[in-house]
Amino acid sequence: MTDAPRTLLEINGVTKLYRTPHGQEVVALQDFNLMIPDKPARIVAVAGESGSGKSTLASLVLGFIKPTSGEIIFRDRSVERLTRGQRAIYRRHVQAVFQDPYGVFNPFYRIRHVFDLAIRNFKLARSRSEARNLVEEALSVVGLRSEEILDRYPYQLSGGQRQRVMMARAYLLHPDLIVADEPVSMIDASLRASILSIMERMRDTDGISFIYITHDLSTAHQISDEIYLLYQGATVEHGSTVDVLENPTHPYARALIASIPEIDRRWEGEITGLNEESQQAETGSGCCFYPRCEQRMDRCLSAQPALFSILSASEPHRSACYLYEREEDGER
Amino acid sequence: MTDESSPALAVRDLAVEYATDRGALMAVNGVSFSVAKGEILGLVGESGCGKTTTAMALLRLVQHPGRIVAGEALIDGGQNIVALDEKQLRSVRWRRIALVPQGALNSLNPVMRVKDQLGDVIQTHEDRRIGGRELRERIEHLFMLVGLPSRVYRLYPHELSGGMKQRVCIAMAIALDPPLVIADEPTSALDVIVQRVVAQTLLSVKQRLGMSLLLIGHDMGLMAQMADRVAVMYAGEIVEIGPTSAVLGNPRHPYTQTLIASVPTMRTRGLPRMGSDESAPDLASRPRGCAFQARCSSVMDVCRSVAPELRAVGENQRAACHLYPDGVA
Amino acid sequence: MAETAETRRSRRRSPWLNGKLMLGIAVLVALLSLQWIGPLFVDTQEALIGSTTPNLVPVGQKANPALGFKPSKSAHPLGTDSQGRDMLAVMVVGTPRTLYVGLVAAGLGLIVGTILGFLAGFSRGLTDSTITTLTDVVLTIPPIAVLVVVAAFFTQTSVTLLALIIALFAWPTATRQIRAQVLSMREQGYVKMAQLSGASIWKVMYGEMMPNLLPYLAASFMSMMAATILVVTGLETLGLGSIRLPTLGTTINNALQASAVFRGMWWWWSPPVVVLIVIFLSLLLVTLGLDQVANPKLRKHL
Repeated sequence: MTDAPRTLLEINGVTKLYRTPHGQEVVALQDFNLMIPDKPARIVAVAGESGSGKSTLASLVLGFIKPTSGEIIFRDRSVERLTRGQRAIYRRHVQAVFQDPYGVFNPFYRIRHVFDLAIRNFKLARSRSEARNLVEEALSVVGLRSEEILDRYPYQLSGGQRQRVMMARAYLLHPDLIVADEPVSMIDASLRASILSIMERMRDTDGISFIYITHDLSTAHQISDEIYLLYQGATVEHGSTVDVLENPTHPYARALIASIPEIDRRWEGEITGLNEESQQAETGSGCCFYPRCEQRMDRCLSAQPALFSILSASEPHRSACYLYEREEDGER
Repeated sequence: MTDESSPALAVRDLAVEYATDRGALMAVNGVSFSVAKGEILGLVGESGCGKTTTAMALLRLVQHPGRIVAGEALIDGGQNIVALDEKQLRSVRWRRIALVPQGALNSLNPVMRVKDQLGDVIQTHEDRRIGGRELRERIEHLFMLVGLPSRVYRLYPHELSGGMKQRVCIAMAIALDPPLVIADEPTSALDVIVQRVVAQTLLSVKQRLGMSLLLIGHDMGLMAQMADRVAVMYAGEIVEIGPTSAVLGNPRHPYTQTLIASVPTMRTRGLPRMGSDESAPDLASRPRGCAFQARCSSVMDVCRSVAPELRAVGENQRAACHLYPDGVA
Repeated sequence: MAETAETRRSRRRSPWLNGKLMLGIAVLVALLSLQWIGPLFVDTQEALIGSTTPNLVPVGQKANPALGFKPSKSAHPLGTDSQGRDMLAVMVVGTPRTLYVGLVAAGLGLIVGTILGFLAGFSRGLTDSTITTLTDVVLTIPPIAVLVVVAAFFTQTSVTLLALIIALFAWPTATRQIRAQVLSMREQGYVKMAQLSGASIWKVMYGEMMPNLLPYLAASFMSMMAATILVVTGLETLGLGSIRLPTLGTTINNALQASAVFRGMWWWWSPPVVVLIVIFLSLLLVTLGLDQVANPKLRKHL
């Protein structure tokens, strides 16, 4: 058997269902597949709007919740079947940066607490001076100075600074993968670039891969290598970022990209009727985007389309739309 | 008493102060601008720049520990909103000036049907009693203006989607046909496609009713789609103001340039070179001189001692920057 | 790191130093310290029955011999009751004892409530269901009815015993409240962060959540103290307290039994009532003061 290239993270057919108090079933994520190879390090964007299932994905990958079906495999190890002890080890390889730079800090402690916790629990240093050096190095990677940061309380730092501290904390553990869940959504536009550039640097210099979860396609376009576009729990388009965002194929992707307000380009025409009403499952089975699609056909009512390859693309580019169906290419 | 030639809103030297345990800070530090009849003025800036405080001041909704300490705001060349008492304010709110708020979730009463909330607003602020049939017709007319299906009439807010709720808020704001509407980040909480729908609804409503709109936001791209003129705020002051195409196409103030450079576009990849490391200054300990000095790549000595005034830097375009000491650059 | 003018200024105006909180705590501490300071000025033996001349009016009041009162003596500035107890001594002895009951009962109730509340809120599942069911069951038992029976059964209840019995009814409310707090704190970002940093459940609960609960726990403690003091005083007023050493409640009971109100012996029943009012007001002040700490919007400035 030949040596297959190792995968870092593999998500196979993961579905996550929630049950509402009324007894209804809500599909947060539907038959989701994702693959990140071990090398080279890359930033994979998982993009979608509210209700797309992207936050559920973050919780699944981080091991906070278990999938209803399917599996998540990190380096040949199944994540949902980890014991408590194994999960602790898993946390050394997969870390996170969250959206809210305010809530992630315990207001009772100074900033140094977030680093001390990690160092202590993972036994990263054997002496206090070694710990201090590790923290200094991590802070310098994000452009902060320890003497200005460590002894402060969270409320004394700005949102941008706090987010950088979070990045430094993740870096401290030298993980293989960082799940960045909307890391710049709550940061001012003019300050986002500095945080995003830290992510790029960590990818290029330290070989850390990222799952960059966002609703903002523009920032995904800026830094990600690959993108999965989600709509109501299903992947509707996947491929290299440049390809997908500059040549979108799925009707949802096209409507989305056309609706992004840009400075030098006006919106063309008007978006017609049926727009947010009929949110979920009015069609039951069938394509999730059917109620809002301007190019829908009868075929679309049969089942959620599989991801079909776009043959004209130069790199792998797939779209879950019957417009691109080919009998011999029903790929999953 | 309306004056045909006067602007829908004329603000002069408006100042709002907040008491903190570090001393008083000026959230709005002497802001002046005007909105012409039938015009959309965009007030754009990042968090903490004072744009929402300005809107709140214009609606007299500033709460303790903040208070308006100076300035005037004339509606239609007539009443000065800053000087009105509670009784006068009641007759002015919704009729002369209305608000489309940021998060519809907080502004719609969850236990009242949509028809009752809209009916309430109309009944309370009209001089005469409006009968049931006339009220219903007016509400359905509003629905038509904002593109809501008539079934929304009997629904409760939680049965509506985010975009529909926002459009109900727009309907409430235009119910009494006020000459001026203030929209405070009306689309921030919405998904991109819905945002476009709501923005276009706002534009079409403004087209049909001819009112003026003060649009508050942080998204330059959205301003480009909607505003006729745009005013950029930083640290409680207006640093640049002018026609949208001029300000966005040829920004003069370094902060405006930073802001525009940080708006990503789908056509080019990569991060902008101008990413700044510092955030807005601490308003409680304002530096002497220009508020932007710590982040400005073109900073000069004079910037550290003298605060620049708004000066003309183009046709109808003004910027507050020492790079343009004599006006036109 | 050198302290800047900014940190010095902000520490001076720390929200913990607000007037209500400090006044309330000062009064409570003063009342409690009567335990040690009181005996230096007042002979506590005079709080017992028959230790002094009965029916002395307080200083400054004219005695009406027709009602059986005797003129005041400077040794007994607050007068004496009809059983020969010096009212000042009674106050000095009784106030700390009442406060003591409140402290012990509330303290025990809070400790049990914290442990159970944390367990229930954090573990969820079967542990949560068990604890919640138990809590709800105990909550439905009418405390006064049971306490009356129990107190009547133990004819010589010591204050400590009374406090323990009351604590048995105090813990369910605390458990519920703390469980609710833990349930919402569980979703906080810093809890997730601590878990990602490898912290165990116990470390998360007591290292991360507990410190932020402290103002809430303190406020809970104050209101529980108010409730327990009320219950104990109520029981004592009904005649179910200890007979030997006085407390505020037993004094009121004695006064009522001897028809002090009808006889116009206001110096018998009013001192305990006044002190009780002062205690409750101080507890209220402390709670309001803590409220100001926990909720920045209530402060005079940001």
